[in-house]
Amino acid sequence: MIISLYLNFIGYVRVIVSGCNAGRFITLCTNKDFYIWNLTACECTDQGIPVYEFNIAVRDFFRIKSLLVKTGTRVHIKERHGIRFIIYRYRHRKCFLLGAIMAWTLIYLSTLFIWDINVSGESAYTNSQLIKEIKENYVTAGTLKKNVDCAELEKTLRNEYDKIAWISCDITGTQLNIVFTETVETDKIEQPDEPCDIIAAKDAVIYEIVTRSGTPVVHAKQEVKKGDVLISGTIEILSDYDELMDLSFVYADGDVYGIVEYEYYDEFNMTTNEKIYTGEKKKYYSISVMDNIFTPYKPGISYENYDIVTEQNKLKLGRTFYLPISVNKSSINEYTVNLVTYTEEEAYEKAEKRLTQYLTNLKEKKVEILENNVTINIDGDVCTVSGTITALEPVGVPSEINIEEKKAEYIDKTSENNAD
Amino acid sequence: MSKNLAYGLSMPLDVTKGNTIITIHSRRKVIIDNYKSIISYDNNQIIIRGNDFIVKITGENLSIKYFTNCDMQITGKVNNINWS
Repeated sequence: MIISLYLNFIGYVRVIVSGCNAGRFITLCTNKDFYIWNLTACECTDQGIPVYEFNIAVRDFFRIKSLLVKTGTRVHIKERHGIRFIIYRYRHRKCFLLGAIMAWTLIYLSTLFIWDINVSGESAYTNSQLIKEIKENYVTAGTLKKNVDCAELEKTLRNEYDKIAWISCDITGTQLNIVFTETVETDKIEQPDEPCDIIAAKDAVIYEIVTRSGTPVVHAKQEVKKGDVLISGTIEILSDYDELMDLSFVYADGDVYGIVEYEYYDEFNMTTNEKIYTGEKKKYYSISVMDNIFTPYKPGISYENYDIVTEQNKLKLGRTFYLPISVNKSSINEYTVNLVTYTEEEAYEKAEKRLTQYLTNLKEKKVEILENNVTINIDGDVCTVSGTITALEPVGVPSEINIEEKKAEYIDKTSENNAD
Repeated sequence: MSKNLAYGLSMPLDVTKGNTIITIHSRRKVIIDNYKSIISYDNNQIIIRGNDFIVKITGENLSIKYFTNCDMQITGKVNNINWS
């Protein structure tokens, strides 16, 4: 194979020689060290003249003239092989070759950059939000691959997004793949190094109080306002005569559940504008290179109301070699605006749907719904939904103790006791 | 170098004396080293002049795969090889 490649590189021809001294001619060729191969004897001519076919290198072919004259042999080229003949055949196609080379060079150069960022595994953060954040602050499309340090990027993103448990970045083709795995939400455990009270986060009626550390101040069925102390982190040390001796401060800990009432109110119009698509549409295409969009032709829009929906398809070679060029297919869809009035059933359905969403959001915050006293009223053109929702939820939150203030109160108190 | 000396030193005679070597592979390939010249050649018969003899190879569809100044390879269906 290597020999055949070499022979194709230097070029060779298959020739037919005929003449009475054809054999002598071949012998003379070998004497002059001309390399000849695949020699076959063809049928002699009608006059009995021997005819031979063989392959000979082009450089040797140019040197056989004197031997042909000497032996009176005729030669005819049957086939030509080699790169030189191909180049000669396409000598008027240099620009085509140049264009092909330039195209491949451009494609190769474009594969040195990152053109697409793919984010997966997220849930709390949306895909588009993450991609936008990454493109604005870390890696943009068009960055050289060698300038992207995946390890550094992983570290930076892990610090930036505290909900990320694990992150992996890698580059395949021209695509940067970032996979997030978010942490499982666990109850925050505060480090008990600073004394604090447990105070009410909102107005509530205490349902249950379980104290693990500190002094409970409230009891079940007691009404509390926002900010009231529920479990105190101040421990009073009393003497045998129940006199205040000293104060000790601890990190108050416990579970306080309260019944909270939420005022729910919602309203919407019974008539609304509804888009009805007529089915009439016009399409046009555009090409975007990086952030530049070229629209060769955009049809004139004669519709009064319309939407434009654009679908972007990034060009790629294979699965991951994205190019910085995308083809956009846009569709102009006509619609008419109709005034639609909800029926009573539809209005109730809509109101309930919105209320259900609100309750679902509450439940996600560990709120248990006890009662739902929400009513739906339709008054003319307006549908109002109002009422109260009674819920059971944890209402205690830690609050730092101002130790100096407490001690000052203690001193005042002991002074009063002494005065008494 | 004389024949006896070469023989005594066990040196290869094709190198020292230029003896013709004919290697036959099955029935399809004959390699001849150190030949002098081709006397005649056609599809069914090739006559080669060796060191001090003439060898005639007869067969069918005989062709010379390659040949240089001193060696050649003949391919085709070989029926007969005669020395004279």
